[in-house]
Amino acid sequence: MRPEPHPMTPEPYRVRSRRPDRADTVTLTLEPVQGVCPPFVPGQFTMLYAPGVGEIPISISGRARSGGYVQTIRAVGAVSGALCRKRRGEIVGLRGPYGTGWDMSAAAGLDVVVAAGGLGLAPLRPVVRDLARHASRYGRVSVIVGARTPATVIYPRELARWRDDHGIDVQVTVDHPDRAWKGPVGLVTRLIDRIVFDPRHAFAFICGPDAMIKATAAELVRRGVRPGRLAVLLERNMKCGVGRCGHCQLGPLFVCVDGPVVTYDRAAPLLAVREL
Amino acid sequence: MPRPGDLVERDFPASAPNQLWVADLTYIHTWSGFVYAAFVIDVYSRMIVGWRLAGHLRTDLPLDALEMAIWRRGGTVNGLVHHSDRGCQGGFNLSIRYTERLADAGAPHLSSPAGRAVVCERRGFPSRRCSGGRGYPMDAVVMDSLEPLVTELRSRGFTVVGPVARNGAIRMDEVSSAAELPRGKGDQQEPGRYRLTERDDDMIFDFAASPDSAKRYTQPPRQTLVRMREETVEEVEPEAPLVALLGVRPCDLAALAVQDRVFLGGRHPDPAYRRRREALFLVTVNCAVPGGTCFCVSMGTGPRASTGFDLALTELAAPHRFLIEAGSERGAEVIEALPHVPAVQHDLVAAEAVSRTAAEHMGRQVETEGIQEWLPEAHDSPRWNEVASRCLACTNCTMVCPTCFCTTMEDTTDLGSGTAERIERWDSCFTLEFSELNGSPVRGSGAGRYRQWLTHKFATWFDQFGTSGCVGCGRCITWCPVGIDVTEELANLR
Repeated sequence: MRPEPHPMTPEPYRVRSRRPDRADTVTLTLEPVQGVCPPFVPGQFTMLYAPGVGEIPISISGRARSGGYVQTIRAVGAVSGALCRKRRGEIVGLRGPYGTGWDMSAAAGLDVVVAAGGLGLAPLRPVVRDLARHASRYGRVSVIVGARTPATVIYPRELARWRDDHGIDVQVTVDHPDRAWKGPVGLVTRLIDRIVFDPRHAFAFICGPDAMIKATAAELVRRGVRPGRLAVLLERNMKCGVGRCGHCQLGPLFVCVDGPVVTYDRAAPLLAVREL
Repeated sequence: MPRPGDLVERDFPASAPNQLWVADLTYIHTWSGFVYAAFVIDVYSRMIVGWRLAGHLRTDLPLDALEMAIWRRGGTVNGLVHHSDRGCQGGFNLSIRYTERLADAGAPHLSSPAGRAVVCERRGFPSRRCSGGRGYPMDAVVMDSLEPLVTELRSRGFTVVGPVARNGAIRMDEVSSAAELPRGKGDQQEPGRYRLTERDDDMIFDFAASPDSAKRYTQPPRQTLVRMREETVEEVEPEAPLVALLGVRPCDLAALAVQDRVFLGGRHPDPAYRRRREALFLVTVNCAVPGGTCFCVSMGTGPRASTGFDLALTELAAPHRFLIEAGSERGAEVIEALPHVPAVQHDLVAAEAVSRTAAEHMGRQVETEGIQEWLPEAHDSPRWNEVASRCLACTNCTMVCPTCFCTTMEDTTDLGSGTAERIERWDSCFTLEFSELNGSPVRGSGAGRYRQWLTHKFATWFDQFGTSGCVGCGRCITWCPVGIDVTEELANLR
């Protein structure tokens, strides 16, 4: 029998495919060198290890047809940069999946608003795919996305497909438009005016920077959506993903094990405290 | 209300129902937090006659289990002997309401003296073996020298680590003979101040917590966890040497229990921690002379250990001797192998007096009532900025704290072989890097970082691990270079 593994020991995974998205993001498909990917719930993340460089949490954006994890990484630091440079066939370490996932059943029968800020669309991708696949289970579905520039909007082709093939109301806004941009400009909260949902019978999935989460959730609550019907995905510094390094604390929460997905009634009082 | 004595004497006979009940508490980690369970067992049939589960550890919990037991046995239990250990706050014995309820129902409440509390395993029930009166000997014994103990532990393969006076402080280090232990050394501990003092006596342990807790033996300051080269991952075998910690204090035993919850109580237990923890033989010393920064009485962790040790020593004077009690089976085996005499009433009374005097001389105190609720609510207090104006963010408090568990990872690559290593080392929430997110720290101000540490330690630790993160050892006060005193800050924040 295999001895009890240490929670910090990664499994070797091979890069099966690498797709540069736009600007500075890359989407990798990762498969274990041996065996198959463990099951995951949308919203969960893995700890991805670039050998010799470091390890960071990355959300799972879906499962490839081959069975591998699809994970989108933006090169912002040493570790994410090293992961983004990994080529097909190269090895990374992977632990997980970890954390809480999006509760799709809580949205059943309700209008659904999916709100993403920047790379926040990555953990929401499997949510939208589920909404598209099982449209009859939900009411009206809207996806609103905010990004810094048109070039930093991830999954542009899928956004178009969700809109054209699945009849989902997809709206995208940017802070800094380029000449070709014809869409809205400004914060993602401004898109709430442009979508149709019944606030008393609506559920929202929200992911983005803290400020985006707070602004979006506050606006939805102001319109009458219950805080318990807002699922938010929080981000904090994580070194371990298993509640032992202490870095990702947010008040009583270890974001890595008690989150990253929590309902807003729980998150709101914590996010309201500066530097918590 | 005086605490009843021990009339069971580890003999658990019962020839009929309702003659002898035993009770205990335990806790279970679940996905939604700690759940506490109280049980009352009738020794005759070993039937669980009362039980109760709760998310807290208040008196209501054992009381409800007792109510159920009394109800199931018809409301009165005349002649019953009820036995339990001296657990913790809200447990069976320290609860006046519990004892009163038993008296109402016609049963005297009999508890084990501290140190005899553990009957077959820590926090366990008497096993079938014990109920037949065949458990290991728990009687206290007296020895006049520690030399045989050191020799015996070494002969069993343990490296004996005990206090030694060095560089103006008490440190924990390997000793090969009891002669290397300090004699007549005391200490002065005040905020930001630690001094060794000389006394004109032969007492070995009359000082308070040294800067070294047991933490480095369970959670090394720096350890290589894993090596990876291409697709080969090698888990580094943890070093888990057999170590006997001689002179670990009751507060540090409590800290080990806290660490157990951190590293073993969750969904991702740490097998390396478990191995190191199991490799420890714990010889605790009940404190006689608390330091100026001690507040274990406030935190309910001392000055006398009741559980979590293999052997407990109380050092007695005139004549100089040691009262020794076993807290585990292997502890009892060690005692058997040593020259000793059974303790007499006089020794037990003297040991009680040592602990009572120590409890009366705490250097500091903390009012813990309701702290879990009010401290997080105090996040806007101007006091945080005042503390931050003095705090150097030097991380000393987190390094000397016996329960601070935070770590970070270092990554290296061997240029020759291309093997990458992951090294885990102690980290501190006082550094800016600790909370860094997307290029800037979440807790950029000193006030935010001090608030995180203090609030975590005294309040949110309960949410995460079902216990306080503070054991009242006072090290963070003594070793703070500017003398910031958590007890003073809590009093001011309240």
